[in-house]
Amino acid sequence: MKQQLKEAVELVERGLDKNVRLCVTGLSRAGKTAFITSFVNQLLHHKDSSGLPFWLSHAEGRILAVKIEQHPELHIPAFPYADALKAIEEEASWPQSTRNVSQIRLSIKYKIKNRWVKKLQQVSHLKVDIVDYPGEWLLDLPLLQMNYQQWSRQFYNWLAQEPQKSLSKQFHESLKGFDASQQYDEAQLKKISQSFRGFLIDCKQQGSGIHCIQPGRFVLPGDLDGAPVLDFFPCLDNVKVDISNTNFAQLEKRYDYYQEQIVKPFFKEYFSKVDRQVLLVDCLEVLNQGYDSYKELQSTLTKLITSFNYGESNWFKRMFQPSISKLLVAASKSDHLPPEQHPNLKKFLSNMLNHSENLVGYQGVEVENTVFSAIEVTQPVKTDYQGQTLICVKGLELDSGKEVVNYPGKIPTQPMTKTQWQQQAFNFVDFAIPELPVGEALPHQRMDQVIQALIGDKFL
Amino acid sequence: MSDKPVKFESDAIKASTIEQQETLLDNEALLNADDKNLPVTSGNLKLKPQQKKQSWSRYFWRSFAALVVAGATYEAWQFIQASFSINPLLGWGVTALTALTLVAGVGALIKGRIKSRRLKRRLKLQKQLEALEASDSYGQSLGLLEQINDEIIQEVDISQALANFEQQKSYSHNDKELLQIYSNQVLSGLDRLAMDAISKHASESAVMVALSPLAAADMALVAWRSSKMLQEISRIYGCPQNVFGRFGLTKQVATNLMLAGASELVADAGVELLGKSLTATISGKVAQGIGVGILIARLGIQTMKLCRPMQFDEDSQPRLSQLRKLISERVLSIVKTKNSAQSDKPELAKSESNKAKRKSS
Repeated sequence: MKQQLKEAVELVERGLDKNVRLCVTGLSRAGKTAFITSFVNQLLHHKDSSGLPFWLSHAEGRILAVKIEQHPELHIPAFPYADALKAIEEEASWPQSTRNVSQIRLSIKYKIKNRWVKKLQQVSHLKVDIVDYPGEWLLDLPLLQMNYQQWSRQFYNWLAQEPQKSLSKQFHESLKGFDASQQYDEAQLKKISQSFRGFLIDCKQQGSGIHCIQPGRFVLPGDLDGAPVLDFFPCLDNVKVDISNTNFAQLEKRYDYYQEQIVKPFFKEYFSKVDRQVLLVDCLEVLNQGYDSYKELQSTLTKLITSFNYGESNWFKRMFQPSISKLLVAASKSDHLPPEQHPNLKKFLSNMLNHSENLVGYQGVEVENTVFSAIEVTQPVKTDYQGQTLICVKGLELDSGKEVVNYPGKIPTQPMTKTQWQQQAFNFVDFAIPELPVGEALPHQRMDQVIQALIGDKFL
Repeated sequence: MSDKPVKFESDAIKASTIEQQETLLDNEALLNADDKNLPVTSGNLKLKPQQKKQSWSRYFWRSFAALVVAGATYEAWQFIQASFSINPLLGWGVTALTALTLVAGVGALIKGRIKSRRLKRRLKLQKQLEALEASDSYGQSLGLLEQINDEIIQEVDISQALANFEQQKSYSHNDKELLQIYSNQVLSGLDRLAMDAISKHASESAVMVALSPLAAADMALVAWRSSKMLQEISRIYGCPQNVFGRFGLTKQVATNLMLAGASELVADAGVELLGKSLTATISGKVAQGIGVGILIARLGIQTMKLCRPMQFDEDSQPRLSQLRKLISERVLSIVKTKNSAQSDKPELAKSESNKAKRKSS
């Protein structure tokens, strides 16, 4: 009898345990790895940390213990938390960037607050799964709506614009002598595909302000590096499809395969059960680069945000039934600008994404904006400059390794006109990580507010 | 200020860590707002404060006060002269006494004036902090908070809470965040202290009223206990009021109670109803006691709202329901023990007589 009672209690407890799945995404250099590392770190150091005043259940003293657990989905790589932390603390370098999907599971033991639930159970567990993947892969989602010809057309339209036009010379050259209606020639296809991929990578690395690069796997192949599925490129020639062994047919076949076997399963696997989505945005780079980059980032982020399409009657929902209830759009690297300008940055972010957030909010998803820094590497200082007091940030410059005091310019709170964009200059410097004490919680800005926004409501 | 970016090498420039600025918001208009008028506002429209008119009643009060003072001076002068004529030694004694009374009275008046100024300043501070919370400002709140700390520290030991606050704040926090942390770390403790004081005084006076036989005594009790409570709460929040100040505070609390009455009545309607159905079943005197207790608790909560340096937000708002249960439980428990002590005796007697009957039969 006692044994049965115990089992029943255990069953209830298991029923009350909860699971939150958090997806973290953002374009390259937005700070995903640093974010997850800091997130895990702050949770693991909750005991000795006094720096989390806005994580309410922690402030109430209800968080008992946190540990990293092995994820039950063994085929997905684990997020390299230990490596990232080692890089930050011991080598004082930024951790390796996200190249593939990875996952980490945290188990948080906490005291229950709700006075009714409390009668059943004093202590509960919250399991937090954090999924990391390159935001570029998300941009593949619109491909599912297009067939090969439509995609090719869209690509060449895009290619006709600057700055990508000037970067595409080599790719155009490699296309010379290619005939899509010819007999399929593996060597030629491979060569042109490589040139195509090279062009996309150039776009990413040199093309200042090109964010929307499709297909995403061509730039960040993950484990697909070298696989023949990535050997295709857009082609405008209209060839009768029923001739099966032409170059064109082969290209189309690979595009379809990419759609069916790479893009679809990815979304199905990772998005069917996401509860909370974090989208990290590096606004500072855009401010450095100017108007065109701003426009491009805005449209790319709009694509990203609306690709989690949450509404009832859209095809994505019908296909995968995602259940994202909250979207946190966060501007990272807030420590790179003086703290008095944080509200300006937040305003800038929300101005930029006003339209798309509205769309998502209309679907009943809670959208929040915040400005934070996962790892604080600078210190605000006051200087006298031309007779005025200026609040700047002081830190180690990444390129030169020297300690600099930087005033990056003032972010306006109103949306800027095109002329204002051209007149307004910004200089956000990349900072290196200073030497940090090993084994202590990482210094941060507003990570507690991010934690509260993402999982705070789960600690009943 | 130039908005162009500048970069310096660290050695080339003198940079100091930020002491947050102490410049305050320039909100003259905000501070001049007249509290005494009914706050008739709608959106951004507002009823202007009434122009003060020279009225007869004002002349009356002034001249009346002057008359009283003149009379008292004349009487005192005559009294001193009379005592001198009896015996010079007695005359000196009376003079010294009069002087002492005068000095002490003026001193108390001035001190009370200063302390009631403190309450006024507190109300200004509330508005300033409210304005800071609504804005996106940075670095303006620390000066104000320090001022508050100085005032509170004289009355309450908050060193531990302050240490926590110091630990949790960082350069990256703007005013709004700093105020929130301050409220959570320091003020919430004071709130609990104040709530304890309220529940103590309210339940004490509830019990006293429930037990006291005289209606006149009830009134005196309520006045005495509530005045004590106001003093204690004002001390907890660092703006202690003495007799003169307390008078002003009581007036303000009463006004606020009246103004806030309607909305709070609605909010607490459920609670009050519950209370009524409960009180209907018990005796009138006990119900009176509970009623008085609740009234005093409401006075206390209003006092908290006036004295707290920052206004309450939705979550930290003290609620009457937290106190009501406590008060009625306390009164009922005392009355019950009293009743059961009385009713035990006859039962005992009955069983004794039953036993006797059985024996005899």
